[in-house]
Amino acid sequence: MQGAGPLLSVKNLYVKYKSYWYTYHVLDDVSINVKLGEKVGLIGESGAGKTTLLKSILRVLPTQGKITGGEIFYKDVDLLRCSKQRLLEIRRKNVGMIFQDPLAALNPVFTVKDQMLEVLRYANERADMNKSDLINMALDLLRDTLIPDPERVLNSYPFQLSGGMRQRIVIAMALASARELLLADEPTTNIDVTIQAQILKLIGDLVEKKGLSMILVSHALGLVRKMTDRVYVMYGGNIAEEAPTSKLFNEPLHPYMQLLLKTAPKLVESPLTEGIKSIPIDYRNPPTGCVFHPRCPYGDQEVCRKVKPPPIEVEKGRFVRCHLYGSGS
Amino acid sequence: MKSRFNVLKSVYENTVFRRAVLSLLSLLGLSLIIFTLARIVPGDPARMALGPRAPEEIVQKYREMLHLNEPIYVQYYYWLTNLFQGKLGISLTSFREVSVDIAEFLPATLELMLFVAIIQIAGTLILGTLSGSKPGSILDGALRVFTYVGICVPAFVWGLILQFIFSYVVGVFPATERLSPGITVPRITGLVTVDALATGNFRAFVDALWHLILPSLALALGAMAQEARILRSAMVENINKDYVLTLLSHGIPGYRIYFKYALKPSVASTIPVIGLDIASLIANAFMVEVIFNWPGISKFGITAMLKKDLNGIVGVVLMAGLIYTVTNVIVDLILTIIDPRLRYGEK
Ligand SMILES: Nc1ncnc2c1ncn2[C@@H]1O[C@H](COP(=O)(O)OP(=O)(O)O)[C@@H](O)[C@H]1O
Ligand SMILES: [Mg+2]
Repeated sequence: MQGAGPLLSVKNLYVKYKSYWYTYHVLDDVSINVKLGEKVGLIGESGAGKTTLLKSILRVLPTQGKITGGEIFYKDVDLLRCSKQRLLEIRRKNVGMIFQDPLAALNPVFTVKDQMLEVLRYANERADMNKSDLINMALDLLRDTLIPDPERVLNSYPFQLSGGMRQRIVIAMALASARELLLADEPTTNIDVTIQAQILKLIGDLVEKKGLSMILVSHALGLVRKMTDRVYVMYGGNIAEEAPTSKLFNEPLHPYMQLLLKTAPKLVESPLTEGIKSIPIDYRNPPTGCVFHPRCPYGDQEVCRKVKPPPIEVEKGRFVRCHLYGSGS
Repeated sequence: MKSRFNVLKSVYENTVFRRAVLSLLSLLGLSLIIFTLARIVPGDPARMALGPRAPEEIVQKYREMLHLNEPIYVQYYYWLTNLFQGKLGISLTSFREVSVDIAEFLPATLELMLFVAIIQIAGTLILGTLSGSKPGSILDGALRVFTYVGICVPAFVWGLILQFIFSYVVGVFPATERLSPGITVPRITGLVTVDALATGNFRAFVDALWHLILPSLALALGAMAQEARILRSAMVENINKDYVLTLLSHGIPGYRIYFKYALKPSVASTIPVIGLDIASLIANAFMVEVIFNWPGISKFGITAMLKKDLNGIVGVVLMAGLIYTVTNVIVDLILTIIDPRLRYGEK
């Protein structure tokens, strides 16, 4: 039955963060899908809601975060309504997530071994698993991520290891659960520039080798271009544009994407955060109409200020939310 | 020469040794302060010890015997030389060596402290973790109310309430004393539960436990509520950290995450407070000891203050200082065990 529906499909998702005083309306009608074997890129400047989207998929938002609308299907499982046990199973054995900050994703007061074995124990619930099996699995995963001297690393505390090493551990842990889908949230942002490309290549190779599907969030546009089949461009909690990777980079449609490419012309490993003057969106009170209109070169039309653009299918598989391309119907 | 200096330096830098020296020095300082203070507050200890009707010559003799007419530094010198022979001087209330009094009354309070510690630590960890892992839940709200009550209601009021309910109304727990009449336990450590176990007297052990429950609860409840709130705040912050969400994303069950992986990095702020709260019982247990007729050191200490029992006051305060010092060491030890960054030194 595989190949019938998408592996993952998120439809019309709304996510809010509630603090004592304010409500932040972050994700606003977000829909994405990932087909089996597909590598999907997710780009957009900081604060666009990329992490929120990935955490929503596995339902691991912080306590202030609430999913207030939409649906998330993993194969035929409704992740927002399925039993707790079903959700735990999928987290353990199907989907794995690499968190954005490798320094924050490892518990400072437990050894790497404590944390990896915990994860492996639940990812491999089998009666014949004993501790030395688990240790061997952990060592294998560490070797897979090209960690030298895995025995020493396994017995270390996170603070005794370099940022790059910690990121490899986080990748290794994610791979323990990601038997089908890997969610990689900016896997190179907080590590040394010199090894960023190396880490991304490592992820690419492992995904290839294990035949995984992937959502890759990254600022390294050049690498996203190389590693993905399709890309979603996020802005202000909205999907601004969706397109096959090569089409998007050759001929961006959304003014936001055009701006991004203009400010990062070489497309090698240019980070895109710095590019355009970035005015963070006030999610307590987001702009009316198109969220991008205050910054958009064509945004002074009345329709942009008043009407939220619907996704417009420009050609098959290419969607853009912009009034320049019609108003839908 | 140089190498010997280095050895000395490295010994000094050994924190255990340095702490021991510093503790000893601060205890000595404490003794000097309390020794002086006890003597400059108004009131005539000799007169108070012998009573208002004792003839003046006898009181005068008594003063001379206690060196009360000499300058304070001379008195302190006498006291210090005494101390090096292990003596704290004669109490003016019991007319025994103060160290004998302390040895008699301290174990009862120590036993109380031990049980308060057990209740307080277990209660704090459970309540703090449960309410911190689900902020806004019913339990969390209940803990908030309990904390406010805990801050307002002093331990002795808890004692009276518990005594009223569980001894007089329900009648499950005894109201006073450490053992029921007719049950005796030979004195080995002075901790009745321990001595009962050591002599294999299980009935006495249960009886002692039963007597300990109400006073321990009375002393534990208020502090426990506050400590649980401190733990709760740390938990509330840490359950949103990526290292907790990461484990969640791997399908690890909540109870394992909260009671292990979120709890351990959260307790650091709570442990010193628990330590201080427990150490402070050495004096703060007074009212509860009175209510439960508990033959503890707090009662002895307060009596010494009221009667201006010079040696008694200095002895008790010094012992309290020693207990605070030991508690601090234990707290630091636990913190070091919990946080590897303290053990290995970050970077
Ligand atoms: N716990 C939270 N409470 C309130 N706002 C939050 C919280 N977490 C994230 N946000 C806000 O949500 C928006 C999107 O954040 P995020 O999903 O991390 O974006 P990205 O990963 O694209 O940088 C940001 O404006 C951020 O400030
Ligand atoms: Mg992010």
